[in-house]
Amino acid sequence: MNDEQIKQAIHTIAQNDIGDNMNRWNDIYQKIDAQRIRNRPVWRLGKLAALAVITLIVFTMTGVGVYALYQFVLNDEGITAVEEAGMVQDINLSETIEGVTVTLQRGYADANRIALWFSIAGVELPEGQLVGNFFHPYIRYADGQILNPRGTGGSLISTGEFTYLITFDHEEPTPARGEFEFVFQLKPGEVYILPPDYTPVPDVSLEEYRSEFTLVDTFSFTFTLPVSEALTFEPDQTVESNGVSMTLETLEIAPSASTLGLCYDLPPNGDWMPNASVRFDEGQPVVLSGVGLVEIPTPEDTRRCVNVDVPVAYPEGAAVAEVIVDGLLASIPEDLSLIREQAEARLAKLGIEVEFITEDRGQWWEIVSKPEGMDDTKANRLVYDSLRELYEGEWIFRVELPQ
Amino acid sequence: LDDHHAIRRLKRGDISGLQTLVERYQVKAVRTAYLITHNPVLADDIMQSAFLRVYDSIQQFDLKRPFEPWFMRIVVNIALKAMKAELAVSVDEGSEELFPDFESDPAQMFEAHEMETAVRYALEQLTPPQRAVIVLYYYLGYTEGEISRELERPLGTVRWQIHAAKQKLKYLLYQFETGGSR
Repeated sequence: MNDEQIKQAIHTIAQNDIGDNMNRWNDIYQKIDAQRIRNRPVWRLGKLAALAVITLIVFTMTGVGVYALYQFVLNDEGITAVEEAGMVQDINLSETIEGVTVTLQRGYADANRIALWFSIAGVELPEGQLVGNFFHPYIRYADGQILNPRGTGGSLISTGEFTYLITFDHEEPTPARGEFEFVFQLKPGEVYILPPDYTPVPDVSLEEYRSEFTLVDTFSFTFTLPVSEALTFEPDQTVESNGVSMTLETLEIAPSASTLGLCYDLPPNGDWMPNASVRFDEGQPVVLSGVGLVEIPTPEDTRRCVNVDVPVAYPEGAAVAEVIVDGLLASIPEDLSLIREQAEARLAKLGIEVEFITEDRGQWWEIVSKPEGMDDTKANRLVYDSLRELYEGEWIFRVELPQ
Repeated sequence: LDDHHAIRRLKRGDISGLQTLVERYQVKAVRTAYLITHNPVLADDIMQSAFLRVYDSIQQFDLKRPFEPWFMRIVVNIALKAMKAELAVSVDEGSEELFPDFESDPAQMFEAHEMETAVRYALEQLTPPQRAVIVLYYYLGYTEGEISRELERPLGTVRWQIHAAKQKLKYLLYQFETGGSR
């Protein structure tokens, strides 16, 4: 038996005993997901919508947790655009369990994300600001993969019926294209109903505001949505600014959002993340909604690669996509007092006066004055950004789109 | 999406890059682990562990290098470690069926799959480290230099190991074919 025969025999054994038909991705993905949960403390939220982060600052300190994300109204231009374009589909599925009715009203899906509109009625809660996790929505694909929500907007005040818009990113893994199946469930839990005029008070526990649901069961809806495709580009464009080389490696444009793959030199002394926006043709730039979870850099890290989501609507037929990174921003410090003076000076230049409140159990700010015509969302975003160190620079990428 | 772009995605934290690599290399990885361990369940575990290792250490991966040899080295090393720590890993009760006991009915098996059966028998007689070398050389098609580099062993040592493993394999095959002592 010569070498070639041995080689052939070994290949035959391998092929006969281990078939070609194999897909272990779900098993591997679940293990990675579990590992991520265990390792979460070494990761940091890159950037979410400013208001949501503000809420996190307050309520993670007071023990309520990240579910505070649920209570803020989603200001999402991409979703608004697809809604106006008639791309949102009616679903209208309802289920009532022990007097509580959940209705899945409408839905939209593209290659970047899924948005669902739903309402909950029959929940008996006292009047007040609702914070809490009495529902846990997620999406399960037909093959068992699960998507957790990215952003939610809905009722701020409990009045017996809550309406919500919730979005899910297809960040991982990328779903199959075409029509596929979702399962949507709600689960009971505990909530905090804060008085309408509630502001954080030092050393006051939120326990007295806690309510629990024990009667509500799990709701489940199975439905299908068509998925709009994304345009995918690999521009591989590199721009230098202020000593930092930045490359736009990938650009995925879906109707309701775009995802940028950016790699850049990491300046020292900061957890730097790109402040990116996208515009089509000469339209208004839309700023990023987040960069997800980003590993905190070590002193040895000299370069970083991130995926940046921008909720910008893609106007069909646009000729040019422009990606603008107008600086690198560091994460907000855990103690606001460290950066308070610098932030106040920055905001003064923008015509915003703000009072920072630092307490044993949390941190907060109140906007004392702002320029006429500036809405609270924009003002809070500017306050949030003022709390972050800025590495100045401008990196602009232009991608010609096929006509 | 080629390996290079998939790894770039993964380095950016986009796990769809890993999915691409899993779909491309999972079968080859399980087969490699199986040839070393003779245990399909364990081989599957090893493949999954290897991809978790990739996920954990992708930032250290040099994009100028090819992915497959780096990954297969991880698979082989985990397989060898698993064989050393048999008590710490799952044991497949059905593995005997997949690597059939030659002595149960050698004549019948020899007729049916002469060459394959002979090689199965011979592989079973090798130690796991010897099997690893044979798998790298015959199954993955690595040269002595590549095996040396991927296993991080001196070239002279690898040459000797390949020679010794091949000699033993050929001797065992000769025994099998001639009906020699077993």
